[in-house]
Parts: sequence; structure tokens; C-alpha cells
Amino acid sequence: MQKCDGHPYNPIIFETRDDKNLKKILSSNNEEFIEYIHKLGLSLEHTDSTINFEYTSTTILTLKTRCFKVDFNDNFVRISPLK
Amino acid sequence: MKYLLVLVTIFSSLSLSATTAKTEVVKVPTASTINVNYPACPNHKTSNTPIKKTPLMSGVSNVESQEDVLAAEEKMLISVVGQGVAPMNTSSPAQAYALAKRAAVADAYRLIAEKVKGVRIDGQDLIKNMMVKRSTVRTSVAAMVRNANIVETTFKEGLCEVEMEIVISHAQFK
Repeated sequence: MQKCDGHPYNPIIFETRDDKNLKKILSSNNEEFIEYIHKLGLSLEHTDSTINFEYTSTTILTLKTRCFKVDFNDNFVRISPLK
Repeated sequence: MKYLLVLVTIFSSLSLSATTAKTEVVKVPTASTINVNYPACPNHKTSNTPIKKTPLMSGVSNVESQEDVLAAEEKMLISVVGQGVAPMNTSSPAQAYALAKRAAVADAYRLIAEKVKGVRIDGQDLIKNMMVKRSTVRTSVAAMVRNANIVETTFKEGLCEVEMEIVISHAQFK
């Protein structure tokens, strides 16, 4: 683990419901968080092949490595990427 | 026997011409050595002005210039609809929906990448004894996508459709 530098921008806020476990909060809001993190940027690799009219395809989405600042307040957590 | 003789003579003449062709030395004129003096056409005036050289594939260069569809300071909205199907062995309808949506989102990203960056296509046909043994078409795309928005998601009869939009600008490609 290394220290990240940068300024936070474009934060996302989730309700904590008295839970300080970030992993649990993210998994209970996974749809929202995945949509948000995809929007920040991802790399895509897609290949498909048709061999003798039989189709197979593979799409790999890889998230960019990124540092986040996480602030826990009373009832909310603010997650913001660093730029 | 007569036909055989005829064939033999034909082959021998062919082989002879082939051997003569091998031994013949042909001097290929270079661009500097070509100097053709055509007779002057009486209806046309001759001039000493150098002929303007046009590129051999001038039509192609025109096509290339028309490819700049996104002018500077201009933005373009690209909209796609990705489709995804849930696997057969899901533990609940909710899981089926979530997996189908994930697949549809990945498909939408792929469509955006294909529209913006283009697709690489490789094809290979293996033919043996005049018959196609194996026909292969492979397509691939690799890209980095950022700031794409999910506009609408629908789930009907096991098929999830995700409408996705992205705004691209000329500055992003510099």
C-alpha cells in the first residue's frame, strides 16, 4: 500500500446505516457503485470468433487502478477518486 | 500415336520458349532513362510549363479528408443498445436480472468501442480438395472508455437491453 496524492473530485455518497465497513456498504450498493466506477474509466477487450458458423465471444472489462478518498460522516460515506 | 507426337512437339516448343525466356536479359528502363518523344498534336499548343503531378490515388486521398467527421470544437453523441441474456442456472430471478444487465452493459461498452475505434477483422478459410474444411472469422476491439452513461435499462423475457450514450469531442483524440 502506498500513499496517493491528488485532489478529490466527482464524489459518490452512500448511506452507511451505522455501518463503518466499506466493503459491506459497497456490496449493498453494488449496482450504483459499479455504474459509477465504470463511468470513471475502464479498459475493454473484446474478441469474438465464428468458426463454421458457431459463434463464441469474450468481453473483458478491466477497471483502471485508482486511488480514492473515503470520508465517513454520521450517516453517510463520501467516496471520491483522486486526480 | 499421332496425338502423342503432337503433344510432345507442343511441350518441347513450350519448354524451349521457357528456356529462351530464362536466358534473355531484359533491361528495365528506370524513370530517368524513359524519354518518350511523342509527335506534336496539331490541334494542341505545346507549352513548357511543368505538368502538375496528381497523386496516383487521388480519389483515396479525398476519401481520407472526408473521414474527419468530427470537426474541432464539435461534439458528437453516440448512442448504442447493448443486449445481455441471463445464464440458465441462476439461483433467483434477481440474480438472473443482475447477470443479464452486467452482460448488456459490457455489450454496450463494446459497441461504443467498435463505433469509436473500429473493429479488427481477421478471416481464414481452409479449403482442402476444393471443399471448405474450416471457415473462421474473428473480430476484436480494445479500447479505454470513460464517461459513458446508461440511459435506460429494460428486461423482458430473459433479455436485458441497456441503452448507453457517450459524448465524444475532437479534443479527446489529440
